[in-house]
Amino acid sequence: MKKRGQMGEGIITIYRLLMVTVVAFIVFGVGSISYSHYIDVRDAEARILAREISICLSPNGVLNLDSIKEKEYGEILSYCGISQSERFYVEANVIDSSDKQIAKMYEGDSGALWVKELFLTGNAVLEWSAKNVELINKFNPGYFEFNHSIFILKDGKKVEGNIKIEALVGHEL
Amino acid sequence: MESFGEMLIFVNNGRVSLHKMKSKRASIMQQVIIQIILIGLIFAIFLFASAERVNARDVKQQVLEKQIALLIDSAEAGMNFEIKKVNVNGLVENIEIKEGKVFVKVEGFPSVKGYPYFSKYSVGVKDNGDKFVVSIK
Repeated sequence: MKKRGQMGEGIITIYRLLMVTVVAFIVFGVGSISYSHYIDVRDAEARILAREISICLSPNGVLNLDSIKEKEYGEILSYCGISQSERFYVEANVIDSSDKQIAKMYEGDSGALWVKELFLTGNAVLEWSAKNVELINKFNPGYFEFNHSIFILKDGKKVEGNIKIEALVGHEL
Repeated sequence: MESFGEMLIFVNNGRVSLHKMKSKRASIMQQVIIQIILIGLIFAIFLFASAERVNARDVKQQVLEKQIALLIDSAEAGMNFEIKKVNVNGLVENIEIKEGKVFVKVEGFPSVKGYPYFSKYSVGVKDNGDKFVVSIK
């Protein structure tokens, strides 16, 4: 009878320790996640990505649209040999000297553009405390946009124009 | 005489029960102390584990992984760059490039997640004595 009682106490002790372990795991797990330091390099990544796309599309300042098939317009990252990632969205708008859009190339999650707009207009942070802004800021994608003049080669004709590249890099969480 | 004997038995029984109570109390105390020590140990293990997670090594590792990923992203084919093992961010023990990610082991702290790069070139890393050489081909 005494042995049985001791066994029962032992089982209760193990159960208590298991409960304590679970509680400690939750407390310290949540603590370590919320206190971990995050170094944000998404803007730098967006800048590099935009530069890579620019070099790929218009090497030497000439964009040869005849060499890009229309179905590749929606797969610009793959066209440039960059591995597609859920974190990226790239858009390249090609316009001629009269501001007429000649081609639009893109790839990735366009939702990132919408999230960026929310942050740019301030809707996402309206009436939020400073602490909350810091919390949601990690969802603000890295962004880089640049515009430069190029020569566009289309249907064998060479015309002057512009290319506007937008690159967005989302969080890696 | 009989009543004296009965009294003696009663006193003896009292001593035995007092002794039993004392030993029971001692065993309960012992159990409580053991449990407190075990709970303390569990908390200490988790505290050290979470401290490890947020201490400087973790940040240094993040800095190194992100710096290397950015260098790879912006590098052209044929470029090499070196990372000294005795680095300003701590002792770099290992650098691994796999599945499009950079993994850096700093001061015995291995990387679990790594950091992704998006270079279109093939990337390799070589241990070269006191440094690691990352080459872009």
